[in-house]
Amino acid sequence: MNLNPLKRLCYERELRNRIAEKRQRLYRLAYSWCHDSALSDDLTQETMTKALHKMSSLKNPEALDCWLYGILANCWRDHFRRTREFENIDDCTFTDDVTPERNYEQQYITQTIQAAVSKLPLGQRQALTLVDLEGFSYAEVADILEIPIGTVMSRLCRARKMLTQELLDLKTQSGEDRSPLLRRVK
Amino acid sequence: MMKNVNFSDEFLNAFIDGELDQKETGLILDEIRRNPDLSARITDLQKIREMVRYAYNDIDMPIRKKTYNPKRMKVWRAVAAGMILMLGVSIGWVMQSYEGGNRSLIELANAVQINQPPQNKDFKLVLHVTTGDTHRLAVMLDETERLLQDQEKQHHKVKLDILANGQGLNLLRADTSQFAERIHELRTRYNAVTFKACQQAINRLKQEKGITATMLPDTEVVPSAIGEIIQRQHEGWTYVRI
Repeated sequence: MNLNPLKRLCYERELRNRIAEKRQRLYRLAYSWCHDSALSDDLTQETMTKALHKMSSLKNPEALDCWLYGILANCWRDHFRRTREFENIDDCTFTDDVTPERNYEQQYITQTIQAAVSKLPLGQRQALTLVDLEGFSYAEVADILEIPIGTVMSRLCRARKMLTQELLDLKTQSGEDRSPLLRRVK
Repeated sequence: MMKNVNFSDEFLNAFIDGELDQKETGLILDEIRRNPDLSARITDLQKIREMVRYAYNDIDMPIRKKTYNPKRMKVWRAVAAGMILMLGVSIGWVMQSYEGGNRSLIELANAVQINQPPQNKDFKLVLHVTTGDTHRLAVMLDETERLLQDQEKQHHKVKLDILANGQGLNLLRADTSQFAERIHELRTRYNAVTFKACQQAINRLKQEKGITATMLPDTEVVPSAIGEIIQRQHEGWTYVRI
């Protein structure tokens, strides 16, 4: 982008502010992927640092969100490679560290949903959260995760199907099992 | 739950995410009116989407102590380094001038022991001088005079013994003291102050260096500095060692 020095300064300043404003959203998305507060914070920090260093590589300021979440996805991928080198991240199913008993006892719907999301394979989880939490279009998600748009659709579809089974069918089943509370007795 | 075979799950997901064009959207909306199963499937997908949004709506970041822009940090580091350098230079300058300026007795003191009860307004102080450092001795005399002036103004009874031994003996030696006149002035002006030299230290000087030390006329020689200090402390004097 060819700008005179003053305009460039203003542009960079505005961009820095815009990046800083995204911090909370980046953290939320990172958390929805890993469900680990400290790791989410680290990933957010790493993303912000990389973004600030590579500001000049952002060709289109309108595409800031895509660019930023793409960096986050890369950071997450790098982290995953560092820690679990020999597993395909798309096939990996995370174990749920929040037990159903605990959810039941505490009646936290939030925890139940987060637990269900955390059990999704990572690829599905990323597609789901980018669409549902950040409102990205399928094409944008494909750009961010560097996968074909058809894969985005299938991952999203499978993710929602699994969540439906986990969160809605369970509820229906328990509703069906319930006996009528009042019976006519002759 | 009956599933509508006409629309794939991917297609319905695309519908709730607003990914379909107008024609496709119209097609589904038209079908929903006739097909309750299709309506239920779409409702379920929407519910899931809302549940996911709800579950992550209140994720708060942990509080970081400080976030920074790396580029800006470089500038701040340079500024901070400059300021530290300036501070260092300033402290050095001040300390240099400080050596030649006034310092209080407490700053000079190597040890302090207060034996006077706080309610007692009489001021009794034994200054144990063990240093031959000219500057420290000069400051000590300045402070002593100031103290005596202050106490006099406030009409407090004051007694002040300046007791020298070791290197401090230089203060009271006629052949080495640079403060003979000053000491004489103090002795003349204030009855409350006495200058005492330790006989043990004089003897040691003779034994070790063969120097026969002569004391200034305003000096009283006591058998032992330590004995004198113990005696004063028993009597409730405040002890300050310079």
